[in-house]
Amino acid sequence: MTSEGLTRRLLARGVTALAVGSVVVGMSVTGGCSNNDGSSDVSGASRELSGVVVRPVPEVAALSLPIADPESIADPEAGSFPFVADKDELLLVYFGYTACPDVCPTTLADLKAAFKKMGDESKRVSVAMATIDPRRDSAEVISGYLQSFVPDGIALRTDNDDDLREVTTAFGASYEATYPTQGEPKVTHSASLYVVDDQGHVVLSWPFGTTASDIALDLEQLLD
Amino acid sequence: MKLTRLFAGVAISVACVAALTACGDDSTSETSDGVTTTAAPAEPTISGAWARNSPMEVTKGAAYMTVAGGDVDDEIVSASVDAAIAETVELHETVMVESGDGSMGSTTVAGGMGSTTAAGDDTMSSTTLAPAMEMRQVKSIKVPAGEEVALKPGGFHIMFIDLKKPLVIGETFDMRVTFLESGEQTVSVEVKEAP
Repeated sequence: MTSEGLTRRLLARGVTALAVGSVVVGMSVTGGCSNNDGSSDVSGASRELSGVVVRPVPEVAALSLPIADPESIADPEAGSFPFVADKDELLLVYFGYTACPDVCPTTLADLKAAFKKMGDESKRVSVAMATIDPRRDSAEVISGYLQSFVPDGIALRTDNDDDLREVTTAFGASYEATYPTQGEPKVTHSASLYVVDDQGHVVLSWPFGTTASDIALDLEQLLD
Repeated sequence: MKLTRLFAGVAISVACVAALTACGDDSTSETSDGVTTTAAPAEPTISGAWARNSPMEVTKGAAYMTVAGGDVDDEIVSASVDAAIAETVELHETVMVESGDGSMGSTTVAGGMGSTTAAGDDTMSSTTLAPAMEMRQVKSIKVPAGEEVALKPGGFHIMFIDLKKPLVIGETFDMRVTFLESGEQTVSVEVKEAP
């Protein structure tokens, strides 16, 4: 489904009071780009999706990252993982790390709860998590971590910071990890969960703290 | 849990009465139930302590709780658990680093934030990029008298640096929480997946 088609579908599903051709915006966000098209001043009153819709829609289909532990997924031959969902499905992408006891497990536990609420429909949603802390997250660690929340989740890992940076930039995500000689490393990262459609468009993102119910409702709406 | 709530309720009502009578000259106070209370100041009360279960692969964990302030301003200065659970326990706070409000500071922010024009658009005053989260160690967590402080995901938490074994759902363990003024309290922490 194209994002235009998706937008039309959302409009048809009761995103009311929007002029035809205007942009569906959760919280209005530019994705860090300066060329805002000026049509994003939609009143929040008509908002239905809980997440954030970024305009222009980031396109990530051409990007990929290495699968951390191919043995842990169904296709051990798989090398890199492209950021595009299977047809008529959705892909959720998270950038995090395992030495993150607060934000990351909270989000992944919320996601797990959302999938539970969705039942079978959740099978149309796949999950990929890329570590932003490859120094400490080995392939096995990041894979096992993600799969403890999402059994068929696909962990991604690269030691090439340029590659990782290119991907996070495309999503509108950020991260910064510093490793002092003493003490705990300091890691800053955007804690959003991104929704990618089967065209490789980042159609939605949820900031940290979005409830499992809101995630489930948004996903069901997007899948419809 | 009911007992805990009851206890918390009693503690709060005691605290309220104490606060109400603080300006008077009565040396003893009486609750609405007619129960005479002792003159000792009420300590902060901890309730709902829980820790998230931890995946096999990780050595970090976090615990959360609600702390109802006592009669006097206090602060949590440290916490500890049995060494069989974790040797190092720290107080932490997750803070949001506003990457898109024009005060980008020194943080390296990917995502095309090189332009500051985004901050000038009225429609996106609250958020531009997804905000970045950062975890910081804190020296103490303030618990003002009579106020409730929540240690919760995305905010203050007690962090286990070096878990000796995974925290498993359904298990409980004791945690000692030390307050600057009122000293140490031991609470039972329940391991679960969500609050």
